[in-house]
Amino acid sequence: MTFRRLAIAALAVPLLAGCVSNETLGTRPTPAGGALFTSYVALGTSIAAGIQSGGINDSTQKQAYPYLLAVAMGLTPGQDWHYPKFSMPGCPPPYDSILGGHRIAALPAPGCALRDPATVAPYENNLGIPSIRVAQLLDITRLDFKATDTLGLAQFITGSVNPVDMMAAAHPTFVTLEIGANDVLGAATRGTTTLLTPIDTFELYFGLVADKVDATGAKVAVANVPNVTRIPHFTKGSTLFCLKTGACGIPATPPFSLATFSVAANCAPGAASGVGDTYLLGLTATATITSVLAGGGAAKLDCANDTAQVNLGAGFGTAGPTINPTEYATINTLVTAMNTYIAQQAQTRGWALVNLDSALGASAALVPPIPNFSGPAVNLMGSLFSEDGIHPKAAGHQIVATAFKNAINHTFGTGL
Amino acid sequence: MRRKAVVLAAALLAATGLSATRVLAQGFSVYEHDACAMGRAGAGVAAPCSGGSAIFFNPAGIVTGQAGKWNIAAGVTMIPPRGSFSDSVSGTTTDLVKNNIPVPNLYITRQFGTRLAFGVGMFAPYGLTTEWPASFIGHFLSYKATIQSLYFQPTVAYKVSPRLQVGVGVDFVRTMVDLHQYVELSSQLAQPGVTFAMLGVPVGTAFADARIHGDGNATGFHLGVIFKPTDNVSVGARYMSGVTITGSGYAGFTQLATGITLAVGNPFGVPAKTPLDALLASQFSTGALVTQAVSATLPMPAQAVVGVDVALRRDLHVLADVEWTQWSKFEQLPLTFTGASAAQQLPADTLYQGYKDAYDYRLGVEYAASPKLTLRAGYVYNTAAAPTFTVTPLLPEGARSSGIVGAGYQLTDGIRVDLSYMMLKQQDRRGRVIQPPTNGADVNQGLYKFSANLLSASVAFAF
Repeated sequence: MTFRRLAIAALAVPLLAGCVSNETLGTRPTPAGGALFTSYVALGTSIAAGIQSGGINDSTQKQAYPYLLAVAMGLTPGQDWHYPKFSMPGCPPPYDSILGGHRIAALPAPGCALRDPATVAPYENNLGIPSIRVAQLLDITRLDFKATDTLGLAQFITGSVNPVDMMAAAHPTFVTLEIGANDVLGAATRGTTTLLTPIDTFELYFGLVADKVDATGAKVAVANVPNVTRIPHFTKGSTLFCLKTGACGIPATPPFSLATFSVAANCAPGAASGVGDTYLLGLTATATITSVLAGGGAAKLDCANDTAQVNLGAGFGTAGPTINPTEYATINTLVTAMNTYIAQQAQTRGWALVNLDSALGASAALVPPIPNFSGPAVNLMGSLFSEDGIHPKAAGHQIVATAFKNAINHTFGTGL
Repeated sequence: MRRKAVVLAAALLAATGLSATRVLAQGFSVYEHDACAMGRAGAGVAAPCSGGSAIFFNPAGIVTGQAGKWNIAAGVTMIPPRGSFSDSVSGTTTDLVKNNIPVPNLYITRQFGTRLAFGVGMFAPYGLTTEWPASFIGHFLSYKATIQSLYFQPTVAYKVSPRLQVGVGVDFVRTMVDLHQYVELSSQLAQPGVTFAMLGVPVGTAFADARIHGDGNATGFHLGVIFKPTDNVSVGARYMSGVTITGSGYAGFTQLATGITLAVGNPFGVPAKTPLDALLASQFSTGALVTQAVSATLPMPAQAVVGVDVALRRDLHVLADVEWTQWSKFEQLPLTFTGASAAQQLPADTLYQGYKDAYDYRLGVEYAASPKLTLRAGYVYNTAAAPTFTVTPLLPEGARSSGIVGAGYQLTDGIRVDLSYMMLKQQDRRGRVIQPPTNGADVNQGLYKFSANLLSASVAFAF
């Protein structure tokens, strides 16, 4: 019996191996906004990246809506939420006088202060990339529209890793998707609809991107595409018509009221049977006309032509790209179709839909009808948009972030 | 932008922390050198097993008093390490590659008269194979590390009196080290003063598979003493010196595909769709990543053990040992390279390890169930040698707790077999999978689990 007891006891000895004090795995702390936001990734355009006034640096990046959302979610940028921080003064530094071509600091070629090496991470949570189209979220090397495929910052932001792949590496629990603006913007700023992404192409690649996002298991908030024809980068032909003629309830205003500026009657507002409301001048055209007139030169605008004309003394030439009514209609039709598709996708996939177009449109009163050339450069495009007239500045990003928060809270019952 | 040549700086190795010596800076001692001794949890410095393994467990113990007798014992312990790393950031868990590692031992002793004995033993008190899948997130520190350290120990022992015997041996040590790890790109210099990270390359981008292979020799010594104050009590002690192995070998690098195809407007000034790997390729043929010689000094720590054997009855012994291992010898580890040219030579590196001395507490029981059958059981607790700073994929070391059972059977007058089984469980320990930042921030981002079920078998011949 003694032997048996000893044998039984001995056989139990290996179980003593469990006598060890274990440490625990630990988990990432739940952010104040809730576990839904433990890992937040922003897929987006230059708006998400934080471009302002034709440049980007850590200051503008911190004003971008993904940064604002991350903070609202309770995440700590640089610790549990990574963004591709650019060293000051930027990459490139923003303009402080876009009309004078002057940036906040001069840098030697290539004009980029590079990424801050102290903040590098295995992945970035803010994957906003300037100029990116929807197909390039899947393949950053696609160059379908070479005139607009200026993805120079893609290398700095993701290391040329495809954004959807880096998104997956971040194991997201929440994703914001803001894409599509560059599928129309390049065409608008260049005044040619040949650069538009066809709607079937947009839908194809948006669907593929959406599948990739859903495959991560993350909850999603998707923004629709803002109507690029309403951004202050563009000035309506009718605005110049009114400033010239003093019609429309606004006084004639120099230099547009000068005799050296001629505006065709077809540039009158729609209410006056003109097409000037749907004829847009890009910032270059508007600025060139303004400066030529102020300098004593002549300019003329005919909304039946595809370009505005200025005369610098050697004959009339183009002032810069414009959007004619046909192009305007094409762009608006495409944006409407894109937003219809995005809304359908959001509903089908259970995503929160952020009506970015509506949110920015609601603040249209803060968008000047024509750049404020006589005021300080910082107010060139009003209080919402930076000097390039395309990208929001701090106040504009607050509107965008609020729109995201409202949609997210409505859909997911959160309290951002 | 003009095309810029990609120049990996000479600081490459320091940036990666690539080092063979890092492998050795862990608690990787092996104590299972005989199935009989293992069955007692390794306790037995005061009364080693009779087959000849006393050469390791206490050189004084090879004197048996059986004049003219030869003893030859051979055995093997199968060590199948099992473990995993759970990442608290990604939530993923990666398992160790399942290896079964045989650790052999061989002992030969000869009694000259009743008071003198000679012997020679071969055993491997330090060694490891830690292998992770190459895709493991920790592959920049190591994905496969192998150490084979073989001790060859001629030994002589003398019985000074019926109650006192002493022994001494000379250790000839040969060590082989083989380390595989990936090399990370973002921390390398693309241009003077500009790292790839500053150009946007994500942390964790692998671009090279590095291998360091080397070997070396050293000589040490081993002392032991056994004293029997009473017929039923025996005390013993041994000391095995530390040795410093001057090793040499090579460091080789194989290019890995980063999978990165450069976008338009990239800062390298090359066309869109250019593979980044094409810009790096020359580094492996003419640059800093050509194969080059490496040399290092690899310390093997000293061991000291004291213990007691108490015969509660004629057929029942209780044995207890306390062992000290001088892991603190791994404070700083130097490594030097010799390239084909100055431009290709990687810089010398000194790694801080910060290990601390470790202790093992061993308790064994041996019961002679019959004249032929002996049953054994035991328990071992090992303290950790690795500080929090150096719990890495090389060997995620920590405190260990082991329970053992074993048995020996006398087949004939001259042949005995022993079998033992050990269940080893290491404490779950937080550790890291990346190089720590210079600011000292805690990067222990996951949990290492480690365990093993060891089987040992020995056969001893006496004639």
